[in-house]
Amino acid sequence: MLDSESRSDTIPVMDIRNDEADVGHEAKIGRISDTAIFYLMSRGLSEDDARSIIVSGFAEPISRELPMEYAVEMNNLIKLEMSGSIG
Amino acid sequence: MNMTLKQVNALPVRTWNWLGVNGTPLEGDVPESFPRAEGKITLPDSVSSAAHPFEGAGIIRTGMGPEAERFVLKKKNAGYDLEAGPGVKAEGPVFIEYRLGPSCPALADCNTILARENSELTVVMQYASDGEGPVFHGGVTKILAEKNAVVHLIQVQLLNDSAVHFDDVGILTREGAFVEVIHAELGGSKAFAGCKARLEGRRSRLGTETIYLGENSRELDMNYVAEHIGRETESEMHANGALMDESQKIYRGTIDFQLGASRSVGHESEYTLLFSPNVRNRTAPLILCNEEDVEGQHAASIGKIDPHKLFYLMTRGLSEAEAKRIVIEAQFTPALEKIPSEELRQTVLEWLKERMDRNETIG
Repeated sequence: MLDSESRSDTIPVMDIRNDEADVGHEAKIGRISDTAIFYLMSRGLSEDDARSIIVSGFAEPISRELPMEYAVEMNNLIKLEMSGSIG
Repeated sequence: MNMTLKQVNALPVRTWNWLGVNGTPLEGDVPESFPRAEGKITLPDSVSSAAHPFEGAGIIRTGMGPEAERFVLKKKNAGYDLEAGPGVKAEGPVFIEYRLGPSCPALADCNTILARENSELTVVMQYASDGEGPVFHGGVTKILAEKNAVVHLIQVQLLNDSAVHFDDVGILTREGAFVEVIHAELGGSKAFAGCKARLEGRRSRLGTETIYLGENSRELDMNYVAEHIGRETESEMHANGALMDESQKIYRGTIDFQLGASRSVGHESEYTLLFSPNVRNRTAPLILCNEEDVEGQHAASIGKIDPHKLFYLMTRGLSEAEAKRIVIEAQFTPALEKIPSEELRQTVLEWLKERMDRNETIG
């Protein structure tokens, strides 16, 4: 959660009808850890940049699978969306 | 007489209807009349039984919803209004036991628990049945925990296989209060449970531990909701159970962070063991988040007994059946340990052992 305007509803449902399945599910919702921000800022980054890097990190498993030009585009879009929107 | 409640245990936010978890109709045969039923109560001296529910009990919402509450109020034939005065630490638990059977086939109990400032109280309710005839139980319990009060509510259901049962709880907490609800849903043909807590006061907390056992064609349906309203509120909701034969279970757990509940934390988890290809398990763990500075987490695991655990126990000389029993018992232990009566704990363990012994899958 990056700001006080946002809302997130997570509604996962598991429907299991046999005993051979082994199903697990986990989810976590929260704000960006202050410790992570502090660590990145202690390395010389601004707060905005630190947050932007962390958010890009969340998208990394997806962007890694994309062709290079799309991955770069996606990261730029995230950066653009994030600039000045947090803090 | 047929009881039809169109929708109980409704999810706070609806999802696809075809999943069948938005809510459940509750139908069952109930007797026409509900003659006065008496429970066996053990009341410590420091806890009083009031003549009326506490003021404002009517506005506390429950987990199963208004239809179930209205039904119980209409049919009410038993119930206690308990109160622990300011600063009172009850010297022992309140025990309430109901036995259903031919002489008392229907029970609709409406209870309230008021814990005044800095008080501490434990209430144990046990529902059991004599014989195998059809019996009905519907109960509503409302709890108001004032500033820094602590309430433990333990409800143990050991009804026969033809019983229709529901247990509905509503909670309101003030600053620094802590309410813990332990539900053991181990019998009945239909066993429904609900619990809704409104954590209004700053730093107030909710803990729920649920254990359930599905056997034959038992239908289990549960709905737990923690509404975080105040700052720095906490909720811990955990459920553990085993499903056998053709039983079905729906578990809904919702952590709802409302605007203003900053620095609140909510965790929920569910672990279910499956012992038959004919069981049906549905789990819906929700996190609703309208506040930025919160931490919500849920985890669920559904499947067979971990073969590594079985192997480890069997290398220690246990048979497969014994190893399975130990794993299942361990599943129920966190909740059982919170029952403040050795006698009742043993009764529950015996009940579980008997059920496991007669199940072919476990041996």
